[in-house]
Amino acid sequence: MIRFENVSKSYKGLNVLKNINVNIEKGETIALIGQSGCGKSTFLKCINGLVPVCKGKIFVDDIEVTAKNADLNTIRSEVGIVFQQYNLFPHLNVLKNIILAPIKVKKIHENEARIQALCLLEKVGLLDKIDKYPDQLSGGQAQRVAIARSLAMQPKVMLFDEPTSALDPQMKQEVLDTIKELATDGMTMIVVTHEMNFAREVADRVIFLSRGQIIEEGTAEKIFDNPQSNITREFLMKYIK
Amino acid sequence: MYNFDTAVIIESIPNLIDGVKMTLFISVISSICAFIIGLIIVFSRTMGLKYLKFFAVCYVEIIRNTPLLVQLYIMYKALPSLGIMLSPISCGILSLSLYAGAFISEVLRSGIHSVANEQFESSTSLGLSKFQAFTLIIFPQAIRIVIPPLSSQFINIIKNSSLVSFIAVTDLFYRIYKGAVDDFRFVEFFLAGAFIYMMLTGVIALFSNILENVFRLRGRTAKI
Repeated sequence: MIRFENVSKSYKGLNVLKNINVNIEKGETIALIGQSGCGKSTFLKCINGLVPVCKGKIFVDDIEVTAKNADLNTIRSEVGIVFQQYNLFPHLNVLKNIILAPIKVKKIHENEARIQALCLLEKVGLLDKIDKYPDQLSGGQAQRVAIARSLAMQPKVMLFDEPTSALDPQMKQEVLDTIKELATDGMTMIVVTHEMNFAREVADRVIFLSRGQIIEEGTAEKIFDNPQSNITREFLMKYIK
Repeated sequence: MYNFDTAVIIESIPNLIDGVKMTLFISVISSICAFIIGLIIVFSRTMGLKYLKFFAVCYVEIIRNTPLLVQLYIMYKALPSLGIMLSPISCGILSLSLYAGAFISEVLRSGIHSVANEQFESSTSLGLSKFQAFTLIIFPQAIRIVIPPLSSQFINIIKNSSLVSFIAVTDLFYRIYKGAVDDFRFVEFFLAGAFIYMMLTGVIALFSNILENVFRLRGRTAKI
């Protein structure tokens, strides 16, 4: 579903990603872990072309994202991304936040988009917030609306960029539960996270990134219980007590 | 003690009303044109192609760094020498629009920059085109933020429109000045003039406050 071929990225001489090769299958849930600044966010943003790569190729569903003539708008409409800071549109209410892109990009009729939005809001448990504006929501609610907004585009892949880092523990759980449910539904997902327990519980595969390189990847058990590399061990020591 | 004579003002009310009409005519048309110019310029600067951006920057810097009166005279006196004849009213509207357009574009630009870049990122991540992201997401937020400075620009248009009297447009200031000189009643006429201008600009200030409140209710203060 997602394939990285020798992908490198540097900002002003700083190598953010170095020669990344990954293949992510349909329906897989990947947890991407690593220290802040190790290139996790860049990794995600390369997938939908928000960040152009310097070298290598990225494919989403066999369509090359990194091609010069790639239709990024179409690719992006098929790759949902949820940000740490929710990034809801503050001037639109919850419903409009959700139906805007389906109507404008997919040209779906407003009524259909509305029905779909209602289903999604029910799924994330926020049907009663439909008329509210983003500033009237708690962090956890806002993040769940952001997830619903991405899902409304019926993406083939969902990317989560530290979706719970800005939330307090109780709200974290609401959001993690929602993501878990998506994993059960068979959505292909990459979750950048510092929640190691969550990664262990949900991820089919864990990828550990350090200084722009994939140090280790494998099942959660393999990475967490039997890490091969010293760098991985040191990192995990800090996060799992 | 100065003998304040209100009768001269009352007598010339019809005359002043004609002046107000002309001032409003010029100001309203200029405001609309200036806003459209501001929009085009700010769009060129933030989203446009390189050469379009260059043109936009040149325009803004030339216009806002030269006096409006000089620009008016270029339109009114210099252009005819180059074979372009415009009526005084057209000259006034054109100059005011170009002048205010440059300032309005700067105001809009500051508003756009104050909308977090993440908003643009998340819009395009949903598949919206650059243009859609600008018109549906960034601009509606930016305009809410810049309502106060934007209304100041419209107020400035009304006040600056008094300069068109220099190129023989019979606006409010022209009539005030003429009344004052004809009757030797400088105090009465100029005070009356200041008062009338204040009434006109006050409407905009009031309207801006109302707008600000309406938009604030609609989540203007939202965290992103």
